Amino acid sequence: MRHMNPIGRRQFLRGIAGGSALAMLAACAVPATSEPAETGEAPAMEPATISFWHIWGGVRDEQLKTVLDDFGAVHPEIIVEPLLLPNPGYADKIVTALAGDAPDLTMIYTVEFAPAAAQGALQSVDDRLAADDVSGDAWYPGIWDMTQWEGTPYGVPFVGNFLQLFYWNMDDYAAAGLDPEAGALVWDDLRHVMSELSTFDDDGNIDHLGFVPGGWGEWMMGTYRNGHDWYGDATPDGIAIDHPLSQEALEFVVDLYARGGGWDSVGAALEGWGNQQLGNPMIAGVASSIRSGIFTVNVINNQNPDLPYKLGKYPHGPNGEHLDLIQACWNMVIPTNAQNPDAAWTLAKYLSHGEGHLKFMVEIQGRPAMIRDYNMAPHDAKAREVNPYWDDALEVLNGKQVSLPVSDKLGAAQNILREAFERVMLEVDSVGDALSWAQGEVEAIFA
Amino acid sequence: MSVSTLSLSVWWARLGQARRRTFLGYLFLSPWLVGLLAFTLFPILAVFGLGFMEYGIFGRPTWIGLQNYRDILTNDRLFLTTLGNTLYFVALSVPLSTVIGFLLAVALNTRLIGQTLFRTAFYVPSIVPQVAAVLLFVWLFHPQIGLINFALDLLGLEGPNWLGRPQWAKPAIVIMGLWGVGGGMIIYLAGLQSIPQHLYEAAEIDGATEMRRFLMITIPLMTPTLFYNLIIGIIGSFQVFVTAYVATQGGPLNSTLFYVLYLYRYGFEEFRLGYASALAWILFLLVLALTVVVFRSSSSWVYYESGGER
Repeated sequence: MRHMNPIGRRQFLRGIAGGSALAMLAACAVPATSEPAETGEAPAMEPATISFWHIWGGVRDEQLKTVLDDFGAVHPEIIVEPLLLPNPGYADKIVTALAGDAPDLTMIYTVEFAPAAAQGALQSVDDRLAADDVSGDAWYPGIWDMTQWEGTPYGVPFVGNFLQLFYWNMDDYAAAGLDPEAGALVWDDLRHVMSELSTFDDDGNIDHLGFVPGGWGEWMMGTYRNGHDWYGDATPDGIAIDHPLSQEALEFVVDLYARGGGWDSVGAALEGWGNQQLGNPMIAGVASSIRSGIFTVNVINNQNPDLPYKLGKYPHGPNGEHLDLIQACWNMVIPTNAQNPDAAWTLAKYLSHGEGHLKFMVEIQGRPAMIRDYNMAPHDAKAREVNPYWDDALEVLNGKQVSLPVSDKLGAAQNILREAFERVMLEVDSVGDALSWAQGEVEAIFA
Repeated sequence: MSVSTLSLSVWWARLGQARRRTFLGYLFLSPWLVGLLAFTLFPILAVFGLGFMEYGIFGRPTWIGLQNYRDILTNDRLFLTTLGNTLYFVALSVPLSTVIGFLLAVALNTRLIGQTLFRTAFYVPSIVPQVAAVLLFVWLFHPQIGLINFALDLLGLEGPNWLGRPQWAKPAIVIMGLWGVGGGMIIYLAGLQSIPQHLYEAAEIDGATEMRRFLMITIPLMTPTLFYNLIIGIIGSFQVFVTAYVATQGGPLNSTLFYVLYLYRYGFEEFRLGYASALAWILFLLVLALTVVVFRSSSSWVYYESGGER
């Protein structure tokens, strides 16, 4: 018998590695039978299949499917495979996909949009829009800005009405001596509401809040509704966190919390209501007013249709020059490594500024479209049926819009502002010191 | 039978029994080996390489040498804060979970009514999904309607705003961590039950009290188990993440911004994977250094019964 050496570890591992490499090579090889047979006949046109990732869960998933069915009837040459993104977990899924095996078309939030556009993971849609003779003017300006990276559009807005609306309980406001039709118009009205309508139990715990303040976001909202833009042109010179109007807004929010029982009490009340699954405190009857998006109209219609409420603009500061802030937007984007970008663009057009957008947003959901014209007659008839405050919402959309900068540095900057706010609320810093500190830090981030 | 199958059979027959056994051994090991290489070793090495690069996940990484490490050590205002928070957690969590887990195991190793029920009751929390447990604790720690402050109130003490104040948030996270102490307890219990009974009997005949038997037999013979749990506890505590991510998101005022949560923010919120990789390697080196120190110290306090080596 021929003598054979035992297999060593190295030999074995080398064999495994070699085998794996060969298997990978084999998998990557072009199949030998991919050539079509020559029959002399023109090959039949295969429909293009595209993957479309979206965030419309619950009842809206079904609603979207009806719109996609309509699209399929108009474009039989395109088969759409929709995928509902997980929430939470949306960001992890989309980020890893963009870095590797991407869908043809996906919705993406501003937070992920900015770095993805900055790092070349998304296709510019500038030429496509030009070829279709579509101008950015068709969209609301602040929402259109949310599609831009360094002056070039890398997507089209799908849903971006992150304009914050002010909802109030008309009966409560009347009880507090305010005009129930007008609500709170200026900060002093809101201060009054907080003092008059907040009630406490024997232990000092909050039973009812006049207004539900939203943490550091209230400061941001207040700053813009006081006519000041923190980020200006998003350069170190354009950043003004420590501006007097910003300081005024922060002091207003501190006062608002104090009238509601203080930072700890308000936080405990909101957390407790959250634990009790009360959802929106105003709809649940434990608060008299709240800042929220347009979809809250649908929630009220479903959960508490008898609620005597109204909506309008968030109260503005004493400066009077108020801005309407667009914080973020869900864009539709075509990833750089999409397999069928042309077919994906056909769907993007349909859903973002075509018939699909009108149907899905205005007619089915009763929420304003991103395209200005779709919110006007004759398109708005169905929306007016489900949304009694259609004109009030449009008034906000038609205001003086300003958007937060689309920047991969924004998240870090916002973390600083959140921390500055906490320093003030936890009485670690004075308002002035916190703002000076935040100014330096945010400047450094954008430098 | 095809030619290839035939040649494979001939090759197999010629291997000889010893080599066939070796081959089969490696074959059975290969799933684990491939897993180790692909999902552990390769990521570790990749993260090491990415630490020297600017890499934002979507684009191509670019080499920047030691810049990430320089920035972390000289420019990062929260690096020391997160490290301090994490060391605080390790310093409190590891001794507490070790002592409590060990004492529970000792108590449940004695004959008592409902022993199995107690063992199960203490162990079950450690297999409850962590997120669910943390959400439960957020409720328990509620300053006004939480059971913990309710209990303190019965004792005449005013409970704090646990998760809302920087000075109380870290201790609250440590307490949440103790929820899983049953996992360590089970290992201690197994260790206790492997101590030979004849040692206790001999000591009893010699007149040793129960406390003396505990100190002179139980503790020394449990040191290998304690050592194992200590190492695992240190490594795990440095990686504290879920509790802070779910309960406080690092607040208030960064008081629960632990190292891995900070690393996660850089990697998956700011998409600076190169920087996050450098942070990961610094943590790895710190944990490695501490583990080596504990290993070195073990020769003076861990007693291995076999051969009587110390």
